[in-house]
Amino acid sequence: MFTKKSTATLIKVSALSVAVSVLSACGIAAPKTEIAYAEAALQSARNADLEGSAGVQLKRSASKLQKAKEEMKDGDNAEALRLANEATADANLAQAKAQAGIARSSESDMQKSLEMLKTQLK
Amino acid sequence: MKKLTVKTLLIPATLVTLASGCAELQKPQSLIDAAKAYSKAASSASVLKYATPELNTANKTLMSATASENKEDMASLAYIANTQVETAVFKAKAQQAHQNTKDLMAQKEQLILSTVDAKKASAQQQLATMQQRVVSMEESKAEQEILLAFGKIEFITGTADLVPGAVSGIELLAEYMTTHPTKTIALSGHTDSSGSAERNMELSQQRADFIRDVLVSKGVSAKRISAIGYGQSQPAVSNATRAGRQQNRRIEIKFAD
Repeated sequence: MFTKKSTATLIKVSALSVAVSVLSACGIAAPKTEIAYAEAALQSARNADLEGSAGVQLKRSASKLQKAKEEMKDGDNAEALRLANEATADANLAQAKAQAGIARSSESDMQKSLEMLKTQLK
Repeated sequence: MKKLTVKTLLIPATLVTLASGCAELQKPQSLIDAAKAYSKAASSASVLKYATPELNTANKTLMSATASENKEDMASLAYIANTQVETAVFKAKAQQAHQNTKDLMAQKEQLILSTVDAKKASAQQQLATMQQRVVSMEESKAEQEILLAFGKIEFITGTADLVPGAVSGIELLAEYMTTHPTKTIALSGHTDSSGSAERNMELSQQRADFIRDVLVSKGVSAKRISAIGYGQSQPAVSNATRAGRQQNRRIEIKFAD
């Protein structure tokens, strides 16, 4: 039934299909969701940075987001995904830093106001 | 034929090499640094208290980084993990500052409240002092009236009987003692120098007792009244004239609280 040639072809085809499936597992879809997520995180962080204390992190996030979009356009979805995720992490850090700065300012204001009250009541 | 066999064997061999290559990726310095940063943050009480979810996220990313099958993913995940650790630290700082602000606010409120309380207490104290002063003035005025009325009390010479119409002082005193239940009085009876000293001593005691009995009959407790006769031993003025002798026949009252 099977000739030597057909057996060889079968082996070749199956090997190829395995290789393709391995490769396609590595190849990933365009990270549109991750980019959108990074974009939202960056916007939220920008809104939170009222005192401008997280400029460095915001810039880094924006630059990575831009690069992620370019890589996706160029078809390097893996790199685009990594950059999008890094941009999200940078944006989250920017937001946390901004909020910490604002909270510290409030604490400092409250401390001053308490001291002032103490002085007034003396 | 031989060529074909070699080709077919080569494909899985390459795959195995790829797979084993993935499993033994060298950890980059950035991943080691991220792990160190994580350990440091995880040993901070403040981070553990306020940013455990963020810390857990960083830990998961660290594990993903360690398990990465290519060095690009590993480096990227190491970067993300490190950033997430920093985020956790800032989150904790923010929460700590929020807590501190709340505590300060509570201190401020407490300070205001205690100040208001102190002022209130001071005002109440002042009010009480003023009320006490008014009461004292009223009492002293009432006592003066009583003393004035008692100054007019006359006893029939040689008896413990009052001259008719001289009861108003006793009425006033009885009323005063009823409305001021904490007051006590010391009644002291005195006579002029007419008659024997012994008889006068007796008479003055009788007169003081008489006043006390009237008060008791009007509901004043005997415990609040002391009555002592001094006879002619303590004249207020000279007994030489009739007017002087009349002045010496008297009941003195001392009020006490």
